[in-house]
Amino acid sequence: MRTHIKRITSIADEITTFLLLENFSKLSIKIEPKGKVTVLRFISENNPMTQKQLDEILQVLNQPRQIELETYFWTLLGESGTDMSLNVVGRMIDTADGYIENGCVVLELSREEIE
Amino acid sequence: MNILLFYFLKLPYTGLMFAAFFTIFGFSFLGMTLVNLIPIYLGGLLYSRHAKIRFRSIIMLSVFAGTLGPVVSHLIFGYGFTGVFAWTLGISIGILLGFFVIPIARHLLKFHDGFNLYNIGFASGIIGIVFVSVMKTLGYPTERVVLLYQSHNSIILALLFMSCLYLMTVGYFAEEELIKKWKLILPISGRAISDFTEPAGFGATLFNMGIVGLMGTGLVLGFGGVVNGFMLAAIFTIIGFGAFGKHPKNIWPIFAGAILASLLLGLPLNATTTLGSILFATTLVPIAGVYGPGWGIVAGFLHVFVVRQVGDFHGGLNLYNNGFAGGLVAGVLIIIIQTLKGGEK
Repeated sequence: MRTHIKRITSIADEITTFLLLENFSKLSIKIEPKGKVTVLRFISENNPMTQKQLDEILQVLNQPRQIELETYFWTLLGESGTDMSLNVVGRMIDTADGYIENGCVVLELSREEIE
Repeated sequence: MNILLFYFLKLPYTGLMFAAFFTIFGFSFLGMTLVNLIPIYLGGLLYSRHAKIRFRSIIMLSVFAGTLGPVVSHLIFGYGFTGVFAWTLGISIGILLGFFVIPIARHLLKFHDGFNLYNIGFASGIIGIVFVSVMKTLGYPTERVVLLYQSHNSIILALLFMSCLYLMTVGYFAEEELIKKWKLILPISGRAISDFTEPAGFGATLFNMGIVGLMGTGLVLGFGGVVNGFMLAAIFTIIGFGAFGKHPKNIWPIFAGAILASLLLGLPLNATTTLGSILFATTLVPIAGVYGPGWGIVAGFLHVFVVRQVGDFHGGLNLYNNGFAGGLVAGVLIIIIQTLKGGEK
């Protein structure tokens, strides 16, 4: 359980670093555990991102989850905020969804605790 | 044995699986045997039970951890212990190392931030130093064993070339838009996690494995080296990591830097140890991929200096000595690069 929570906070750390480096401001984060599934929701009140950029990020984040890689590589999270780190996040989550609405960017990730 | 394990554990086909399989395949020519691998795997199995995770989640790490196999063999056959005691000690220590190498390797990954592809080699180097120091203090110094085949063998060479061409051919027939897909691999930095099977598909990944294998084999032949067990381990490791980090664009700067250092030091370029350090220096390809070919050359250059000295620290009990050296080089170099670029690591 503790490891699962540490991985959730690492994902939140990595995504937050990435978004702030991408010039997002007024960023709010909501982490909501629902049974074995945890939903992470990032909302930015400003939007420095185009739909194309958002789609590219979602493509990286929506890679198939690979527990065999996650067990080992999750400790890399929370440092760089680069697209390679998003790659690690993509292997650790089940779904990623995002949209731009009324000048806000919403990014929603979900992860099920399997182990 | 590993194919059966992967099959029964229902592992998905990933770049890391290719890397693990080809690495252990290569090192079966250089120090890994069933006797010294099984205790390490048992240690991994016990760790998975202890950590309450599935064994399939860590099996790949146990496969790479076979690098510590010589510790088991040396305890059974090399320190002068005999009979049941030697076997019991060797197997017990092997299980213990297989257990602890996984959390240690995971922790040490942060030292170089995934810029050293052979991270288990780095962790095992540290473990090896501790082990060798304990044994020496107890009055059991670790004697290094060097057995090198020094004759040219054209059959082995032909098989090696055929293996690379086979991978490329399978890739060609498996992928309709092969070159287009292969080009998707080339901009990838190689830093963990760089699983080429995901963006490019299996055809292009197999093709890339064949290409980097030919680069390694061509380098050995070009300098007149002998294809022996050491070279096979190096080349098959490159082939394996052709699915998980290595491609021509990030390999060449490392080769260039390592060759330059070897020339500067006056090392014979056809010597097995020199060629080994050049080939295995590709553990540092993420530095070339992330920071550009210039820093890649620096990384390859530094690697040759470091790898020549650190083997004695662990008495040769860590088969991935270049992974150990690579971890040290990467950990130091990325901090230097980041500092020069004006940011913190």
